[in-house]
Amino acid sequence: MNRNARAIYSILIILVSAVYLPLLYDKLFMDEVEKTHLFYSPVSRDFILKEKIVGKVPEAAKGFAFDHHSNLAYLKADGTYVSRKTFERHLPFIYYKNMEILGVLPITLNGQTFDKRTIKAQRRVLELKARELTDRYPGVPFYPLLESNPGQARLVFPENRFRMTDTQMEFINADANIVDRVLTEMYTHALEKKGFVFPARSLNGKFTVLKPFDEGVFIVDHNFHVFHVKRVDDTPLIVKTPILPDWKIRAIKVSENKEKNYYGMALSGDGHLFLLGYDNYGLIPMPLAGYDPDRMDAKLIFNPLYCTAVYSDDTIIRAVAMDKNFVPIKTFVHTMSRAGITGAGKARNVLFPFTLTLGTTLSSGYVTARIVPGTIWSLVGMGLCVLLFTGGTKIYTGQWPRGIRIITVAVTGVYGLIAMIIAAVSE
Amino acid sequence: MIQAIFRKEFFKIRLLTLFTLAAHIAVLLFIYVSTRRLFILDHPEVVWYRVLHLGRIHYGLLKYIPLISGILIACFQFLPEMLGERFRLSLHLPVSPAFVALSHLVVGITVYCIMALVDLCGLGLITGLFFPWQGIEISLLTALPWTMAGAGAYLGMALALLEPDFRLKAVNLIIGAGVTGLYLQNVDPGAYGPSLVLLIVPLLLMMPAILLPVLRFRYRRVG
Repeated sequence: MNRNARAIYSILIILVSAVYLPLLYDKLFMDEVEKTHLFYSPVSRDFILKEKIVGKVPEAAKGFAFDHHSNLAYLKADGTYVSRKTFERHLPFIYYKNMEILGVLPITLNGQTFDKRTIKAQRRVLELKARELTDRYPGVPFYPLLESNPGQARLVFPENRFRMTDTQMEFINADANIVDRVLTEMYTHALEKKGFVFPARSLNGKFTVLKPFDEGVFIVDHNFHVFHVKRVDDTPLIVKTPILPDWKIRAIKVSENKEKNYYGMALSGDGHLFLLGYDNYGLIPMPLAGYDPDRMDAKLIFNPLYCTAVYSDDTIIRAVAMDKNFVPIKTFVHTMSRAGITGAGKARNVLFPFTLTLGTTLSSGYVTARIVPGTIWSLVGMGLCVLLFTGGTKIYTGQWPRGIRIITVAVTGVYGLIAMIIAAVSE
Repeated sequence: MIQAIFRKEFFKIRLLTLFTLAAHIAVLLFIYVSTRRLFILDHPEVVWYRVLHLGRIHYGLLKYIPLISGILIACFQFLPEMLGERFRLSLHLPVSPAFVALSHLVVGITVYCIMALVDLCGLGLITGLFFPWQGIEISLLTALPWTMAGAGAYLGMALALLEPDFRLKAVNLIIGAGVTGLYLQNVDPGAYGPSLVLLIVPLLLMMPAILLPVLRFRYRRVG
């Protein structure tokens, strides 16, 4: 019994060490670096980026750090460092407010002149993050269906919210906290009349009143038909869109915009990203080579001249600059500085044979437990731990340690070493 | 024998446990009052939006209550036993020390589970008065890891209190704090959902691990 209790106690120590020691090490020695900001400059007609340098800062970068920390770098696609002001001047459609202060507006590019009003009207960013996909975040599937014709300037939340059950679109009245049978039957019947097959696969909309107007929700039914559902004058307005079920639409990121060109972005079952147009719900494919929606965040940045698609996983960022007809002009691939390994990172690899992590990730909002294995360098650390353990035990006790203990240290490295030291104290 | 141990534990901790339970009920009443107030100050649909869509937690007070209760129950149970080393008497009963220790733990864990259940049922009832089923589900999924943290705190505290060596007491406190911390991350409501089953493992490991300090306490050389 004593031996079993000791073994379980050691496992517990290894478990706790494997979670918290790497966490502590990271807090002390590792730098948290956000993703690189990548843009297509309409001035230089090339990519330009902003990122935090990991490790030693090059002298060239220091020379341009006039008004910020030297480890924050602004650089062109060819690797030339520039100052923050030059960077902003390369992106007049993004930093248009600063350009106005600098007296650069209206600006002429490609033979066209753009003033503040035009820029403001034609700027737009659409973003689809991996963790926003259905079943990737712990949201409550319970939505408001806003009145799309509110008869006033601002949108308001209705006094009921709805959920998609296996058989109906069920509305619950918030005042009484009971099912609103009239609305439920009205919308369920209207959906079924249009050919909707329950249960729904996904429900997509922008559920806020802080938007210029409301475009309702897009519901993907069991057979992958996409239905556009709106509440207009308190009655259902439902359109069965012509989007082919073969696309197996997985998600639609809706974002209402006064230009009314696109409802937002649509993601197909095979991982293709589209713009969902107002013109008969047409799908415009985005040419994103190597895009994996389960691992990558994607962003479409619109300005009066170009649309730039930027997509990235944890280490590599890619971009495609497109003209107004979404024809690719230029592409760019960049390994972000956050992927670089510093001295502290190498020491971490040697020190820890693996890491137990518990928490959310960039691609999931749920808390998940993961074992992150070390690198080949971890074997060095594991070997050193075995040497320390066997040598130390021989010196202090005059005997070599038992085989099972050596194996424990060999497999679990520093965590096992700590557990064995504590076990020795407890004997 | 087991009945005798249960009876001894019952008499030892009943009063203090009742006070702790009363504190839990008081906290739940406070949560009810503050939740009700949310609906007085704003339209229900706006409160639903804030809570169900934006993930605002209106019962945040409940996060550390199970943790404190877990520590307190362990103290009620094992501090008197360790003062003057009274626990040695129990460990010399004609049953195995492991049986005696586990019986004590069963009592403590049962009492803690009753309090955790009161918390969860109370929260479910309060939420059910103002929110639909989805609201109840998400609030329970959010509070469940907090109650597991309380169980971790109880077992960690027991691990530390029963250990006779002060160096290992410190180690055991760190282990207890480490296990407890696994359940108290600042994440979105319901984010622990898929991991809850796996997170039972550290708690299950702590139960038999407690036998180690108990056996060390029983069989150590004194004087």
